[in-house]
Amino acid sequence: MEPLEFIDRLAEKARGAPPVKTDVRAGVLARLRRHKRPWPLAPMWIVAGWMVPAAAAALVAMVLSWGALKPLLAKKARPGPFDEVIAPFGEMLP
Amino acid sequence: MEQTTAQAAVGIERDWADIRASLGGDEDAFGRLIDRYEALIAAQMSRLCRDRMVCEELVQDVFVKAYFSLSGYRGEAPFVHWLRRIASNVAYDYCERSSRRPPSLPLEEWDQLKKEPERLDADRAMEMLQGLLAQLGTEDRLVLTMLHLEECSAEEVAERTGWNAGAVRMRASRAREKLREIVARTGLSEDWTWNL
Repeated sequence: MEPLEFIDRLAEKARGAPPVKTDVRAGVLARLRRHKRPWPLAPMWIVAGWMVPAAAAALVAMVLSWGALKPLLAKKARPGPFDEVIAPFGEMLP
Repeated sequence: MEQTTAQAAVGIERDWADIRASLGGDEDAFGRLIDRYEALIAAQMSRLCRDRMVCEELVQDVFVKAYFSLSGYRGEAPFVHWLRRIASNVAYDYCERSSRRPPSLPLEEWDQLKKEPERLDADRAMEMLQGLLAQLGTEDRLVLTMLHLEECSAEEVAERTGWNAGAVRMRASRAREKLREIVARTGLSEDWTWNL
């Protein structure tokens, strides 16, 4: 049999196949209800709404604390009042 | 003739009433639209796939998409034409997704069928043809499914897909040539014992 004739005869036979029976009403309506309901999104927005200001506040706190710490650290780096006394004393040790 | 026209007019009016009620949030009205057109859409989808679960999922997709686009329905064409167009889009997406999967009926099973040609009933023939069509590209598969299995005219295919009728004819002719090559390569048509 020629391939095209084979395809046409196969299609003719296939057209006799009964359609698949479905029952989708309940499934479709359930999916629509899920889509329409806004609440699954709400908790996500509440968390996101708190996370953004919290992250910003943490950033500000870090900057401020760094500003307060910086002079202290800088002072510590300078030689202390006893450093000059101790150093020669240390040099005198055997 | 007059009676048929009158029935069609009543059908259109009934669809409109349910569409308006659905847009107003009436769930039962949309349920009535589903009841009215489910069998039609299921028949269209079962030309693409014989698996009941997959078929149900595709029909559900059509109605869910229809629901969310309902406000865009202008009533220029009957509701069923509009719904069939959505179904064609869903079918296109399905062909695109399933083209990466192997055909539903593997070649070994075809060889088995060759030995027992009496097993080739309409369901098997459909699976076999779907398996062959699945080896084509998405557009080719869709066009040949509509032309050969749904018995649509080129104009109907054009209306459902939004393509030009001339382009549909051209694509169908090329797709048939590709399908001929596939059948010739597999040697399926050489066995004259096929119960066709």
